[in-house]
Amino acid sequence: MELLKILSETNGVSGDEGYIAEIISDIAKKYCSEVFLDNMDNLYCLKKGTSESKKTIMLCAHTDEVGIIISSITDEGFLKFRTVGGIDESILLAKRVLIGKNKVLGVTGIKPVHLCSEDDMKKKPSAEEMYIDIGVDTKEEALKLVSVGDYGTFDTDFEQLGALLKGKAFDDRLGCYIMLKLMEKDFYHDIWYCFNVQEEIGLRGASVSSRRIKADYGVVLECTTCLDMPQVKESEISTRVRKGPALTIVDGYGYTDKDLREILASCGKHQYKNVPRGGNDAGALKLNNIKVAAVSIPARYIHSPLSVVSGEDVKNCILMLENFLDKEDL
Amino acid sequence: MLDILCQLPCPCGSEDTVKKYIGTKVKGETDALGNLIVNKSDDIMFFCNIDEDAFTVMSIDGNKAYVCHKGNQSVPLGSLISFGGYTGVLQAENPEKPTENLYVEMLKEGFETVGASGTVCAEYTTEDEIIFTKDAADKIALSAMLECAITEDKGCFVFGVQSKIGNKGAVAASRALKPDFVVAFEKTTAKTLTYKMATKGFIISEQAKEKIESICQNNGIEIKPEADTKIESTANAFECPNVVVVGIPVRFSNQIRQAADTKYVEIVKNLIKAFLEEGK
Repeated sequence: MELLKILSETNGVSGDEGYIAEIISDIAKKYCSEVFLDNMDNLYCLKKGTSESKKTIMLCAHTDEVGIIISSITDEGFLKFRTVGGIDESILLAKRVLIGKNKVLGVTGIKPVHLCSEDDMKKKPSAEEMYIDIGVDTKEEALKLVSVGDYGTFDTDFEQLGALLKGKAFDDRLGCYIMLKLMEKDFYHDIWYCFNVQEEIGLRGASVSSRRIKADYGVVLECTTCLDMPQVKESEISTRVRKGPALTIVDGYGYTDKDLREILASCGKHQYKNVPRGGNDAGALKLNNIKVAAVSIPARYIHSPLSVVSGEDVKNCILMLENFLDKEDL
Repeated sequence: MLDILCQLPCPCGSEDTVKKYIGTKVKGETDALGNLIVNKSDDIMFFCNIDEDAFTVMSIDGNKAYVCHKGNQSVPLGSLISFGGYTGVLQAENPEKPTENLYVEMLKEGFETVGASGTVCAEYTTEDEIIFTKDAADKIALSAMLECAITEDKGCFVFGVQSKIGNKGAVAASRALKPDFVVAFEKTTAKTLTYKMATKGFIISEQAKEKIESICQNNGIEIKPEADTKIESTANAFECPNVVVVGIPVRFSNQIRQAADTKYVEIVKNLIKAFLEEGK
């Protein structure tokens, strides 16, 4: 899991995926015949199949993660910020963040509970009210360390959590990890491994890459919502950790391809995502004439400073994909 | 043909029944999303939606099939929902929130298909020339387009899928076929046939406006412009310079079933033939 640790701890908020793409590209060059970036920083890696009568399959994961962007700096040297991607702002409070290329450490703050009015206490804290403290006293001092437009990520270590794994940006560095592990092997079909950018702000990278690559099938490798907690109704759980990778039937961007979904289901342990919300790059691929399915690792606390997943689900996902990519009768 | 089409179930995302029927009448190809395309010449693309509101099974617990509703029509609790050989009654875990935590209580045991999509069992009826059916305008457009796809020797006819979740069929078809002139059909609440001048995110091109007006004038087809930038339409789904969206009048537009006059089948057929005759 050393590779997953590197991928998880690397920073790459939507729009700033250059560095993570570089790490992935260096690995991909060992296995793929063609590796290139487009102007958005989508990374395309082609690995030819072992057969002549093969299909072309596009596997996708996205390199970007949710985070923050610095919007202004106060005279007192505090940083104001906006979120990038879908984040519940109330969970941002009192977190360690790393700002900009130099990873300047900051902490998110708001007024203390003692100084809150009754009305303050009733509402959820918003990013608007928060600031980032980087330990300086003036705007001039702050400007020596950071700039408006710098991205910020959560400072979260990757580590084992009992039988599970904890880390940041599993959505979707886990998808990237699975693709890099698959890349090490030879398969029957031609495979385009596409590492897309800007998924979290509207599937922007995949909208471009899926127009460029002409594929018979697309499989999007993702992380998804998981609410397998006590006192949650069965119909709201979405997915459960350790029950296998989750196949999407329908989400906010529409239906996945039924036939492809059934083929994948026949390839290994799986569960179905039972909440039809959210969405992922499959929504972009399907509009560009690619039959598409989405396979996701259940991740507790997704789109927050940390997520929790099961390594067992990751292994089962790799197994499912290995079986699928070697299927001669697609 | 209209009678048959009005009685075939066609839930969004699982439109095979209607596509199979179309396939018995005319040869077409299915794209990756599921649109059925009969392409005799690519000068003008004619487009209609074939899908209905869908209830898709997300999980099953005993004889309760938890479903999500994809569509924009109000479907009351207690409605009968059909999944092929299985039928059940639409319920909500909390009846005070009738759109959340929906489930279908199946009438018999043995239903196990997570991912299946069903539709509302809403009886199709006719009274003189008026049909009363689900998605009445779409059925009229489908019937007219299918007849033209059978009889005419040119035109590109697209029978679109997955409209109930954001006009996915229209986007995918226009990206794949790259037409430069589209004539699409949808419903209108107006009392006559309309063409959409402006809807949310869409303004008609000068060329398209002149074309629809001249064609209707030359062929004695009564049509009126319609403009409401707060209303969503199929129009902005087409990535194409010239789009004409024709509105077919219906009553009870947001109910499960709508009423429409069957005379519009002939009118829409004449409109399509006139477009094919005159070209773009």
